[in-house]
Amino acid sequence: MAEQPDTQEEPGGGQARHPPVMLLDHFLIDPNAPLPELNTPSAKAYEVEDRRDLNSKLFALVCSHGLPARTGVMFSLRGKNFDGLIPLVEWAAVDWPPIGKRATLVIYQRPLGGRVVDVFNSGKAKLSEYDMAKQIIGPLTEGLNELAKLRVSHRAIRPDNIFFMDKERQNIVLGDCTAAPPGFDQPLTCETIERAMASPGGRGVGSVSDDLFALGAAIVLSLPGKNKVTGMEEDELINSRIEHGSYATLCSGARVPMSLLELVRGLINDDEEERWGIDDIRNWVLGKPYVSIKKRPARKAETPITFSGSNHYNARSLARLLTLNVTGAAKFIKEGQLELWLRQSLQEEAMADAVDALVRVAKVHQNDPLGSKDFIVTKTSIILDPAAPIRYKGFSFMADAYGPALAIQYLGKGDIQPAIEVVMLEIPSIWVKTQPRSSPETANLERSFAALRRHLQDTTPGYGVERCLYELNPGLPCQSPLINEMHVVTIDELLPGLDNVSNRVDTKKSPLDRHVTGFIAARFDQEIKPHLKALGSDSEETAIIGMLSLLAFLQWQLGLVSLLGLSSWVGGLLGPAINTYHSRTTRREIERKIPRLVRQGSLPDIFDLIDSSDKRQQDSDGYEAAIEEFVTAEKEIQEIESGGTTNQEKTEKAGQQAAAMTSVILTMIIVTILFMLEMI
Amino acid sequence: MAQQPSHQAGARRAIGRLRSSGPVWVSIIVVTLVIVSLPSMIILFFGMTPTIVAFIIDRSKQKSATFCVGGMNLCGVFVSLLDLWTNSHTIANAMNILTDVFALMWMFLGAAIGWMLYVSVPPVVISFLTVMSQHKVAQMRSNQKEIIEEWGESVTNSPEMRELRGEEILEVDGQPLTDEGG
Repeated sequence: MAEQPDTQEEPGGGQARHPPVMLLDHFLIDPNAPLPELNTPSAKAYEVEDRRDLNSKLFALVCSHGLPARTGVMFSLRGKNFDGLIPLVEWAAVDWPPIGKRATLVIYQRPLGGRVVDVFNSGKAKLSEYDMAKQIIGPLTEGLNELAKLRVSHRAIRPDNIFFMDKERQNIVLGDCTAAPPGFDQPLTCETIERAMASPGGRGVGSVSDDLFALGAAIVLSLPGKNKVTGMEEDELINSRIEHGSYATLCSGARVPMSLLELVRGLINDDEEERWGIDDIRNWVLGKPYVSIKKRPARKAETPITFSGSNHYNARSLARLLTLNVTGAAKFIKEGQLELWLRQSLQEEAMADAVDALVRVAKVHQNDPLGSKDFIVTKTSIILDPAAPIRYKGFSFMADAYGPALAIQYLGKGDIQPAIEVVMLEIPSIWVKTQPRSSPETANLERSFAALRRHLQDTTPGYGVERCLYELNPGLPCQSPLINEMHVVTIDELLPGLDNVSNRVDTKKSPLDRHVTGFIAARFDQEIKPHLKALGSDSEETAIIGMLSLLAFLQWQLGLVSLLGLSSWVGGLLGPAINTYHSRTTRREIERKIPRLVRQGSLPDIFDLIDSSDKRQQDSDGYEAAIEEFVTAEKEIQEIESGGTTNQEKTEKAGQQAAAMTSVILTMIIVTILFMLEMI
Repeated sequence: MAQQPSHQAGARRAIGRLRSSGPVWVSIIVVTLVIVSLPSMIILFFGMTPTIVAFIIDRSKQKSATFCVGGMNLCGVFVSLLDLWTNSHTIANAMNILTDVFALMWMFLGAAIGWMLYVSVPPVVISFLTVMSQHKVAQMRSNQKEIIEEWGESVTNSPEMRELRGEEILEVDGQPLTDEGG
């Protein structure tokens, strides 16, 4: 498993004082004024002062560096004021002195009445069960309804994340849902069984139905008195929920008032189809007729199957245990007992046939991944429990949560190989095919995983697991060691970030490592395949020109005027690219001009200088002409030097002809002179 | 276009006819001159003996030796011819000249100078041409050096150059393999 994400601890661990941080020119965040009462499990809270409105009460949550924040949700909620939701005022990345790095800060209006659960537990306020509907359930449902309209699910509804906004404790709101991946901070009790079985990062975005389940669970857990589930171990809790149902487990021992009983039963329903929706809650709040949920026992086998020393009456608990003991499970599946139990006791013919087919295929593929015990167990677990998360080599995730799960595994320095293998073995496709109903969402997921597989198969820069990381986690900052500290989340921040670090990094290395390239490929919406192809070339010169062309294209497209540091960095790497010109004069001319362009900070101009097509053509033509001239000269030299007898004969003949001509000319002169003398 | 070869063949045939009929014409001219100017022809015949010898022994096509000897020999003979033409153009006078040692000396001295020219000029010309060639080679080598300095060593490794050096040219997909990978 991945390690826990880093928190906002000070590097020195001491109590050093830090200067206030200004965000967007008017929010002053004081790192020395923490607000522990507003902390979330993944983010710490600090005081914020709005310089434009000194009466406003705000606080900031500092997102953890080790978690991909939900920037998409931040965009959706920024500046909006919904009933039942804590207003998100602003968010941005800033240098955060306590950790010495940039971090994403989310600014909310401060809830002045404190956490609801603390207020009730301390006895400062009391609420009758009858007022609960109007004062708590109603507003929170409306808040969820507003989120549903924005196609956003909260996924962080738990007792300690519900606040009173006002001092009078009349206005109740749901707290932050953006600082961590969906469901990451949720206790298992507030997640549906399926999502509770996934790892924290793999619980998925889910839907409003998952939020309503969490709301029901939060109501039960907020009731006065000690709830039995509070002290339960994770395994015990999940097993109990599988065996007896979530409602029975969560409400066992809890004193649920009669007036809330129907609501709680409607919300804490393990069957998503039957779970209450927003309209049902509205009806309940208004006292209108609503659908009453009858307790239905879970489907059980007539006789249990024994695996790993425990008896199982249903497929879900067995599937879960199989994934926890892979070696024993693979043997167990291959022996055929499972198929027999599915067919005879559970009377699930389709499941039995699928397991039988799986065992047959595994026998054919004994020596390849499709016959491996991990694959067999994972596929069996999907067949037995299609709604459960995909579980492979300890990496468990809901299909819609592959991105955050991968990111958390990567950021926590965990083993990402299982995450890669899951996609390469097309396990998500198996999951999609096993779903009882196909939907546009599952079809999209299948297409998305097919694209990821193509990315993973491609080893050239701009693809691979890095590309998948950034494609699937829009809020994940670029993880390149070069700019990690700069917290670069959007493509607009990338080149300024590289420009910023250019005087602190080893400039003999290319600014485009696999992370930066993957980040560009995922976040830049222009066609860059030709640049990536050049960048991935085996030839050093072509790769350098590819690097320059991609950076220049980015600077041009993003309209960034001057990047002095980055231009200087790139300019220092261009030697091999300049040497691709044959002409020494051209090379010297380029070398002479580069410093001037570097001082202008213009990568497109440097690229034009290095890779002008006219210049290339001239160089190529000149080179061809030079070869021809050289060869012609060599031929002539060889002819002169190795002429031998023929050449000597020619020269001799020329000498004789010269003698004859001399004689004839002399004769003509002498005869003329003699004749003239005689005439005189 | 089709008529051009027939024209050339016609011209070649005309030259062939002239060559085959050349001795006839020479004979006619000589006979005419003997009839018209016998004393001059006597002096020319005996005075130009070295040239006749040179013509016989010179096997080259250009007959350079004949021209060398003939030219200078004619200078020597021309002195006597002038004497004959200015005094009395008679056979007796011609015989007198032919028996004059000094006159004969001029004739043969001319021929000797002609032979000397033939022997001494070619080595001088050869030396001159050799020096010229060496100068040209040096100039071309210098030019090649400049080409290498400007365009790099790879110009010396083109397929043509390898062929000139007698090296084996490796081919990939029908294209010669050069140092540049092309």
